[in-house]
Amino acid sequence: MVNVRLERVSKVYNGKKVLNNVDLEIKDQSFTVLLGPPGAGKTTIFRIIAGVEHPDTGRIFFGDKDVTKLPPKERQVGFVFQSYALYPHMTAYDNIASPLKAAKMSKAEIDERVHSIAEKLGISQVLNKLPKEMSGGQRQRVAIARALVRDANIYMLDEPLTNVDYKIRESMRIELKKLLRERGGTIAYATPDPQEAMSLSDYTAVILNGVVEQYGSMEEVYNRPRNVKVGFYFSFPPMNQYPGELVKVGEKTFIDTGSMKVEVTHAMDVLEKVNEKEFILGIRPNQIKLATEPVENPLELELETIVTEIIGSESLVHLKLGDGKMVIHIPSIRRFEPGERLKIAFNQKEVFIFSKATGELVYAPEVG
Amino acid sequence: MVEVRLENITHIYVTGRKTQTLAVKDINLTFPHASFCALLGPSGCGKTTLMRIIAGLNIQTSGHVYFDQREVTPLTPRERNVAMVFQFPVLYEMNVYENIAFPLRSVKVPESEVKRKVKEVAELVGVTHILNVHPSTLDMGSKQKVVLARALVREPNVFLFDEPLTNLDPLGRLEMRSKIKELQRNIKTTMIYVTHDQAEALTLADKIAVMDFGVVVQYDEPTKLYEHPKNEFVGFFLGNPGMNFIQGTLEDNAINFGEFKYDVSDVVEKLKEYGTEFKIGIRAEYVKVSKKPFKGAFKAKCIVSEHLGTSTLLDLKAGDKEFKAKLRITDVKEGDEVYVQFPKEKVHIFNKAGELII
Repeated sequence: MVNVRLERVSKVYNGKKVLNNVDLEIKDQSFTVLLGPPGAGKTTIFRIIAGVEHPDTGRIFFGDKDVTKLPPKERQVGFVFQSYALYPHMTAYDNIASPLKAAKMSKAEIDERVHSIAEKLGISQVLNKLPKEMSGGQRQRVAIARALVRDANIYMLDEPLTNVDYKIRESMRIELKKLLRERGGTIAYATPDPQEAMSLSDYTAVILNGVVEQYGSMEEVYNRPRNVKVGFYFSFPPMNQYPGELVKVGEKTFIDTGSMKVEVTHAMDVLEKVNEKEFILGIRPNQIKLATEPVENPLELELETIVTEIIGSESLVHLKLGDGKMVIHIPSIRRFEPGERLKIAFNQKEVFIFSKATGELVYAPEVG
Repeated sequence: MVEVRLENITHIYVTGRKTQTLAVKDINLTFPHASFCALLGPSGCGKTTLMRIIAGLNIQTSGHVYFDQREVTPLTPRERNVAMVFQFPVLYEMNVYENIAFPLRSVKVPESEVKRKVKEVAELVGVTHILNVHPSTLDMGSKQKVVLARALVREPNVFLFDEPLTNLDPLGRLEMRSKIKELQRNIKTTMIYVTHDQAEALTLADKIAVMDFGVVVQYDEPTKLYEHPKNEFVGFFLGNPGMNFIQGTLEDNAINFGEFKYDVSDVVEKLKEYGTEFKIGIRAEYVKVSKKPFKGAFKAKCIVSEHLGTSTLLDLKAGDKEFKAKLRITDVKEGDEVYVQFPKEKVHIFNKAGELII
């Protein structure tokens, strides 16, 4: 049981820098989610921790021990790949037992461990089956069981739910959360899905283009995204963004985006410090309500519907705002037709403010 | 622009010398003229088979396919003039413009007309800025848009989509979904969309056929399906999370669940016809939860509290019954005792087998 630490790790593939000076600490006994789009470098980080890939520069530590030069089998890591990667000619039982056999564990102990983990994952009944005889969900459970069955310094799960049917994903996310907490140990979990990150993680590292843009407790990163990129990505649906200019009207201060004027008097202290005129406003779709709901410090707008998307049990309405759009989130199934006009409102004190020049966070709303 | 009608469609795959698999069974469905309809179900439910039958890629074992009044069963896919968009975009080794122009070139449309039409569909789909680009440099989402444009340029009778968004990342999926929706508003072509993802079906379709084990379980408008599922399968399959189903026993004027009861005095006579075991169905977002007691509420314990950004999902337990509640903002944590109520107007009653009664 150790902290896993990457120190200034860089990696170039085919002339492309996939990791750029990555510093990252995965704390002992923590659940850390690496959040980022496909191609951001999450898998490469895992492969480097596992030792199946070597960094061009930088070092990897398990606790105080530099493992950069250590071969994979001496690192003791559990790894679940997105694509299951089960041995096709082996039964589920033998697949799960394989790391224990490699560690020369006794037959009796292997048997006990395999059955115990299989039961927790609900796959006891498929232990004698071959991968091709199982459903996608069962295969992924077997792959997870194989990674968790051994004692490891760190368990890494690389998008384990991405290839699973959404209905299975829904129940497996909670199961996995319970199971991993029960299992204990240090867990790193890579996903492109911000909702998975919110649901699962103690700590979140947002990784974009090979760079760790922000690392911190999940709440901290979600509530205080360091820059526009993090704010946009760690938000489902993505944060609405509007560049605008600071204007004073009497005692009050606004940011004028051309299509709306948002009052920011409450943030004047910090806005004055940065001494810039142009900012980017960030509003999460779930911060915007239909005007029929009560909203404090409201800015009300009447906008035209472009399209409504229904996701799960919620609706996203895309509205026309100036030349751009505003996406709002409604926690029920409502289908507004294109062209329909909607009155919406949001709390002006709940708006994020970023510097336009640097993209850095200037003001984050207080968390109530 | 046609109405597609399926009449008693059954399809059996010969899977071995002596084994056969019944893929779809006795399907009757009408996809109205210029409508957007979805075939929704888990993998293996027969939805793709049905789509391939409409396209003419498979010929059904029995039954008839009509485009308007005309039976198209003997026609080839080309003769049916259907456009298909699959999970994996397939593009030719030529730039985007040429890819889109390809179907027109093959039927010798004059060059000026090709130019006009390519421009028109490129604008509709939003690929004008990449017309000179080679597809190999495009991301999945853009490739899929080019496929869409190429299908569109042919002015097909019917559009068939087979899980076209499955391989896109979440952002690309969101964008493409609105694109297809917009497109459907602008061109009035019949579209049939196969998916296992209910979000896509609910967003896009005017009508959804929910399939399971080769049969159509319910064919209805999205909100009807969501609010009034005909059985447990539809209720659970639609929605995220799926509808809660809780089984109990009818006693006097209530269904008894052990730790709590649900009053059915107004419908008890009707229920008696169906025996004593029932399931009530309620969606997680309609479950009322409070940390303080209120009238008509029963006690439950929070087992899991899952924060999802836009909402919080609670796993609750009362006695041996478990169910989910979805709240917008809450300070309910794991281990908390809460008070729960199921509002009457949101509860559906099903028989033990999961078929809707009330």
